[in-house]
Amino acid sequence: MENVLETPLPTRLSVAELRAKLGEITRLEPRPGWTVPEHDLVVPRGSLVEVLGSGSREWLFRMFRVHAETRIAWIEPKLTLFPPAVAQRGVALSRMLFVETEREWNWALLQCLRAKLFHFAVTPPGLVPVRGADVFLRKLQIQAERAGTTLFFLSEIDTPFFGITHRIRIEREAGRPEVLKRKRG
Amino acid sequence: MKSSTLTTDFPIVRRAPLYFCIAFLRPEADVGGVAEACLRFTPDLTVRRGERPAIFLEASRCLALYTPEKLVLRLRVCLREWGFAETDYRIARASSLPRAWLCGREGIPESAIDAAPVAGIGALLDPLGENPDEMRKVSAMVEMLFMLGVRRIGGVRKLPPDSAIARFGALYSCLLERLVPETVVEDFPWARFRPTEKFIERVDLDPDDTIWDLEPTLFHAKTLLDRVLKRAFGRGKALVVLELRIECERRRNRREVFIRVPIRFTFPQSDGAVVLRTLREKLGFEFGRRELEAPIAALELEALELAPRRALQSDFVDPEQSAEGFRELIAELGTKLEAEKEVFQAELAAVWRPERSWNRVLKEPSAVAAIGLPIPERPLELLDPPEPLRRLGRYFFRGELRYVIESSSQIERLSGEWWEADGGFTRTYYRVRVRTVEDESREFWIFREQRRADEKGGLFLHGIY
Repeated sequence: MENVLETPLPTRLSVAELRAKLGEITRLEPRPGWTVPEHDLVVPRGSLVEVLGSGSREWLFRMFRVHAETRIAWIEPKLTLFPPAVAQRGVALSRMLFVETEREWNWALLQCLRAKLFHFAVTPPGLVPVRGADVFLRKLQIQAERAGTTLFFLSEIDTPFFGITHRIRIEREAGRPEVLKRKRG
Repeated sequence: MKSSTLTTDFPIVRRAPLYFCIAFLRPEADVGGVAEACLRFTPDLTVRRGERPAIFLEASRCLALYTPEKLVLRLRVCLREWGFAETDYRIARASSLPRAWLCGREGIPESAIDAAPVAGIGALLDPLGENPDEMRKVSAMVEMLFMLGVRRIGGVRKLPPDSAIARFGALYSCLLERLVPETVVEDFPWARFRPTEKFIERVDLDPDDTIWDLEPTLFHAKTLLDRVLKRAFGRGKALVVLELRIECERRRNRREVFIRVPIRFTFPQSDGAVVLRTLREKLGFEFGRRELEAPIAALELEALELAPRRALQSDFVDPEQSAEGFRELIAELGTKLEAEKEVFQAELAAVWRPERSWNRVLKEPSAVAAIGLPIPERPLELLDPPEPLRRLGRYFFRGELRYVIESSSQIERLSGEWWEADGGFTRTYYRVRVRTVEDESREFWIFREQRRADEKGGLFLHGIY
């Protein structure tokens, strides 16, 4: 195998030059996020986050409760969230808009992101098209980034989607979130 | 023309970041207390948890108060008070958080980073230990660097940038940024450490006031309650869980908590009268259950859990909060979806049957008021209609899935709607902890339906906590 150290070294590049070479390196700069109390974790705004595990709903609502100024869109093909339980967790129902649709799920999701009204949107990933998933997720990511909305995919099992920026598992027993994936950008 | 310049009495000096890292060598070290104590030095502080705990302090703003050397001495004193010997930790300083972690972990000064083993690049790339997925890529990168003959971190900078970027991608460029001390780029967000706020009020009673009964206890508890509520109100919070502790002096000069009365409110409460009524009920039950062995010596009231008051939470009709945008969105969604059926908000209803205890509405959301029914905690996921369950010994069967029953609690009996055509319902609900075949723990909300004598009831899964 060729040892790259034996090849003549080019002149040392400055970071600015490297930055120009990479072009997109600015994407590495920090993005403001939502802090989660007790867990020293920052969930970035305007990104796609997958949450897994039996404690994921409780964890989400703990975060919504702390960020009392936020608005939430809850989009499901068939609603499984129980609103009285939401009020019991200290999250006012006036902050939430529910969309229950299967046939227009992707359209409704994009509309909710484009409206730039919501700080959080939550949906299951079951209806993400298997073919062209990355293109669809890229579309969602662009819209989420523009709107500053953090889109949570509430999953039962790990999805194979590349476009997810964060993957967090929260088990009911452990209570602490475990970051399985954190993609820069 | 004379130009004017803006002057201030206190020139703003922007200092280069200076990070201190306290790297603990004991994996089980409880660093929360030390981190809280370190807030006296700087508010810019974060904590790394897990097997290699650490505390990071960004100290550039407190250099007017302490020199770096004095800060290290004070940190050592602080750590000693928490029972840490000097062999239990290392303190390092550097110009960025990743570099500080590498120095603290390896026990080297910042100037020696280039000479550190190449395996240390993981510390630079994931200093807070939050990204195990990325660490797998880092391990592969370290292996590859070894194969290329790179043994020290400094060797990474000598690689030809074009081929290294092509091979390792963003990881390499990120690593390079973190290796150059003069270009301090904060390229990852870190959450500031915030200690949990405690709302505790306490009264030590005069030994001459021998209190044994409910009413005088409530009299003192009310004073504490008013204080806790006012403090919470000032922070825009309402009570979710409250605990009253009653201390007695059973042995001479030794106080013990004799009664603990925890109260979880159905909905966050800020109304003193409601809270006091609940407290009276719970305390009356405790006093009826057992007798005090000595007069009450002290009372302590602590708010264990708080939630933002509803009035301070957001909604869609506030003119400053895009009411117009909300109406536009509803109009847009209404072109394809049915309003109030597919696009809606939720309004609670005073109905006992859980699946009918809320309505779909689409109106001015300020009118979506919470209703204060005294009900135990409900699950966030509701199955509608409920799914039949089979029980066989210590197992539940939900279709093909099998769950092992571990424990049950919170028994609740609901009945009503006898005037309906189906004869209403009578259900006994249980909150059951089960374990799946994959050894995951779940909590189910199940009920047993009791029908009239000629009908068959059954066991149903209604929700998942």
